[in-house]
Amino acid sequence: MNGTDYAVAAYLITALLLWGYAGSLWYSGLRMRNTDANDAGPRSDMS
Amino acid sequence: MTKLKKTLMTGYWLVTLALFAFAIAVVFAWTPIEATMGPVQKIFYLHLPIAINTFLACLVTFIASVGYLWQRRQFWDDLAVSSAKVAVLLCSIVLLTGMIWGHSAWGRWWTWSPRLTFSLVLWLLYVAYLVIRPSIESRERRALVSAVYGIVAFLDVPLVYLSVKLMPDIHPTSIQLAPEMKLTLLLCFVSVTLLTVGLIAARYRLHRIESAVGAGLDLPTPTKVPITQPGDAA
Amino acid sequence: MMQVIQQIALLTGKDLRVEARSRQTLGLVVVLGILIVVVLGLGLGPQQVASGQAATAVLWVAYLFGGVLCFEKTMAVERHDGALAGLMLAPIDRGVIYAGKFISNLVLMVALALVVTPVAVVMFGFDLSAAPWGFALIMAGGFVGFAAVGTLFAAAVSSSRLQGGLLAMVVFPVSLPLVIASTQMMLHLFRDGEPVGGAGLAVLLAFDAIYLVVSWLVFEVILEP
Repeated sequence: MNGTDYAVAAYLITALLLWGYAGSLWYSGLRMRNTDANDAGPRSDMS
Repeated sequence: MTKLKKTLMTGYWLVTLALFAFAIAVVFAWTPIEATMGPVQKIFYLHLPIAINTFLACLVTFIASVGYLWQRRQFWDDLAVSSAKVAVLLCSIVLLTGMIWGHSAWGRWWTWSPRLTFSLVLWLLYVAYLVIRPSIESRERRALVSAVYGIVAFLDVPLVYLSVKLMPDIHPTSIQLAPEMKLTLLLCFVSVTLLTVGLIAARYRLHRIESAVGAGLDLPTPTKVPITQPGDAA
Repeated sequence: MMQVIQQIALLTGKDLRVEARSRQTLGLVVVLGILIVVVLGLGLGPQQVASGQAATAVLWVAYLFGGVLCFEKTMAVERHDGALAGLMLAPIDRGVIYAGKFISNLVLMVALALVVTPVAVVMFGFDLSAAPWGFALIMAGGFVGFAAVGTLFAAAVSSSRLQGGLLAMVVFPVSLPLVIASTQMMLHLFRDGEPVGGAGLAVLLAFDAIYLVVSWLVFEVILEP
């Protein structure tokens, strides 16, 4: 592996993490829109 | 959410993503390659802005924690936990990109040098913040413990910094930058900051809705989140 | 001023008297400390143990776990039979309650250290005679900061079932600068033979000062029966 590979790997990992987090937010938002107040059970606090 | 608000939010995200993509393109296509370290130095344009934004997110958590202890309003707690989550995300990225750079520069994924130890302890501090929260059942008690922890953890940051300075160091403390490099760094910093603010805001909005649902209050976005009564579904 | 000292002495005396009569906490933490030292001694194997370098790290592990148990127990005593509500109704400042708890915890931790340290010194062949006062000074600096944070969080984390693991989760990360600073100073002291002082001691003292003040301020706001 040379320097460019390392740099590209770092940028890819960053993009993946950010995209994953944004995706989990998106999903939570969608799920919340489909949830009514009555079955809003305990949720994970980790996302 | 009103239509205007929604348009504004979509616009914000579009601008942020476009700027981010542009910044990355600039980093790889336009910025000159650093003479001594070579192309691997391009990690720096991501590493440093995200590290600074980690501190900003921690600062938001600190301010929100103080606000909670002062006013005891739920929204402070929601803001604190939102920015703590983003801080952990950003700190993970700092650690990972730093490790990749370290493996390229020093041939090892991890060394117990001061900066690395510092980032790791910072990460641990805020991960602990997130994992202790679900263990406390009472909402007020959870917010209270989190607020105290948010304050103490932030005060801990300079102490961690000072204590790790006692260890032997190989991390670079300053890099000579060409004007183009400074411009790229600024561009990256702006786009990462926009992204951080956007993520905290999005997370915060969801937490507000969750709190409102949990407390059985009126929802802040009644048009988008209809509350159905038990009989309605039938 | 005299009155405040009297009140603190009264509260601390009460805590220590309860402990002296029940002997619940100290027995538990001392045995736990010895167990930790033995387990780590077995795990590290003869080579590392013989070098003596590992002893300070092992001692810190024992102190951290033992200390968290102490903080938990001294606060649990107050949660029994609504004792905390009575304490809060008493005409004393909340800061005095904090100081009383803090000193009780400190006394318990020193008692723990007085038993566990000789055990580790013997088992790890750790030559304490090189700088006994330096060792005592560094550990005292560490204990004050650790007890300051621990007392605060023991009050904040209420009687939830997960309290044990929870308090440790809260207190350990916050105490890491203490551990880093004191282990680095111990290395300088025992491996390189440098005297105690300088940046490391400053970090310890800064930690102690900041957390005593912050805890004293925040304790007032968070104390609830």
